[in-house]
Amino acid sequence: MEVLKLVELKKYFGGVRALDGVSLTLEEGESVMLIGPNGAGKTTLVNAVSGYLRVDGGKIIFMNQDLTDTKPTERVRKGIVRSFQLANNFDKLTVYENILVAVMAKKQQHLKFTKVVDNYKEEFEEAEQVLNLFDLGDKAHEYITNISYGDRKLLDAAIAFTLGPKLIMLDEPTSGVATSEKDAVMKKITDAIQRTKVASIIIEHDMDIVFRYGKRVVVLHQGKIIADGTVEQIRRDEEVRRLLLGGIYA
Amino acid sequence: MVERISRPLGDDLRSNIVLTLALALAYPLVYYLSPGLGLVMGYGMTWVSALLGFNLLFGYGGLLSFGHALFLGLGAYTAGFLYKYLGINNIELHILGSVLSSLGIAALIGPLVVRYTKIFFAILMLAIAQVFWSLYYKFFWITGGTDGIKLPRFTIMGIPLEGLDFATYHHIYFYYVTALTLLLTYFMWRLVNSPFGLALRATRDNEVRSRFIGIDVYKMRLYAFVISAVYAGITGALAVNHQRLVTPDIAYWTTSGKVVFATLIGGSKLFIGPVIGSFVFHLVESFAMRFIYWQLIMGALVIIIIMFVPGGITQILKTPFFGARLTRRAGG
Repeated sequence: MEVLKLVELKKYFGGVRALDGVSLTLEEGESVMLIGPNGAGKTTLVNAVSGYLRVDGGKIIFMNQDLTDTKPTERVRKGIVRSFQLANNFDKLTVYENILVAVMAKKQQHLKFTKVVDNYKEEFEEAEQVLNLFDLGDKAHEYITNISYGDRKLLDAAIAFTLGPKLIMLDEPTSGVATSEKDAVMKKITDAIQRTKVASIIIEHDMDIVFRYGKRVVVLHQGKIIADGTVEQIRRDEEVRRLLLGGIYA
Repeated sequence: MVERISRPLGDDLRSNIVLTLALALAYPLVYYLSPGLGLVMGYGMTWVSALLGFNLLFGYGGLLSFGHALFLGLGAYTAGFLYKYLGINNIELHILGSVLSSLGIAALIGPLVVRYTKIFFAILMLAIAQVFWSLYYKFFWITGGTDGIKLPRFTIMGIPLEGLDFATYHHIYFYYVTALTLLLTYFMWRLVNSPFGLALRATRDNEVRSRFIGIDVYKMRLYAFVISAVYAGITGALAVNHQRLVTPDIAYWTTSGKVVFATLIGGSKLFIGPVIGSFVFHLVESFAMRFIYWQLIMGALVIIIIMFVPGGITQILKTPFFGARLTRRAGG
């Protein structure tokens, strides 16, 4: 079944065509790595699908429903969830609370005030599970300012997974992360994707990571999809090589 | 297994209850030694509600209101009008009336103001509060203008307190307010430690991320705003029964300033901060008032607090001394 179907998606910023008729289909559980040079429209695509930006044309069909004109909160409830390029956490909450609030939001319990959070045993256990999956358990009571940037990015992804999405979009989960940490971060994320069988779109800059973890790769350039195929096909594609690899992998 | 939520000293319910009870216990002695100081304590206890309400918005919601005098004024004039036009001097009805009036007005203006944050929210609140102040000030044939409305002694559940000596009357008032404050503290503590409180802190830290985990930020802020208003309204009704006079002063912007000052002095980062702030503020104010330039003293105090202890007085609760005690307790 198709999870996501984008039909001729358009987004203009003045004269810049950030998305210039992007059509893309994602099957259930399918993983896509989205690559492209700077300014190709990768983040704009994630912003459009998640509802951060209104599109100027085209349709966003999610699980056979047209969500083009819906609010971000509604898309989250339907199962479209994202992380951000710059780690985007709740800075004055602990790591634990960051996950817990996502659990509460998923269950639509964030407006309840009759019980103190301590009494939500199920939710605590759920948050605990997520923390352990992402190896953040020992930092549970740290504030965000006290953990490494790699952990912050991981936490951002963990928050997204907590929401139990049907489609997860991760905007450069390894950007800004120390090279030595990149593999560990990516491994935890791909593990989580496999385990939850969630459809995913991951923006990635690091071609090493793309070649190691990618299956289907979509290449965006000047707001258009110029290539869409398996990692091997993309690796051999002449135009992609010229655009992205700049001879290093040639 | 991951340890669950642990609250620092001052954020737990127990330390809040203990503080309030300790003050209640100390009151007769303080009053015996100095009735003036007793009255200051009375003001301190009276203001706890408003400050808890203010800090729900400020400390937990990240919205700085510079117009909470609006709700103190509403509470005060509701009590005043209830007496002036209906002859009601029953304090329960005054409180009930102030709850309803502040709730009603907050529900009316809330949908407009909580769409704004930061300086825009602060100034919008200031402007609306000043509009209400000018109404109390100008429509003197209804409100009594600057002469205000004089109130007789209140009655508790219909029991009149006329004929009692001052000391007894003051004690009755203080303990009545203490009981109410305990109740309001309990409810507020539950609220800020509920999923709602957690999500409200999330919206404070990161509005965008909150939206993208499915939280309706506007709704969270609106609810917090209305609850905050009700708490301030209650203080309004209590305060005018304390001084037995309603004047436009309580709705003036300086009252909003006092709310902000007192919270900063106590500290907004711990639940207990505004409670301590309320007593310390009124104590300092009563001393400073003996001098002509008392505003200078208050201003200097706030400057010192902001420069050297931005977390307010309660910042000392986070020093290693208190921290070590807490870790021990959590471990054992």
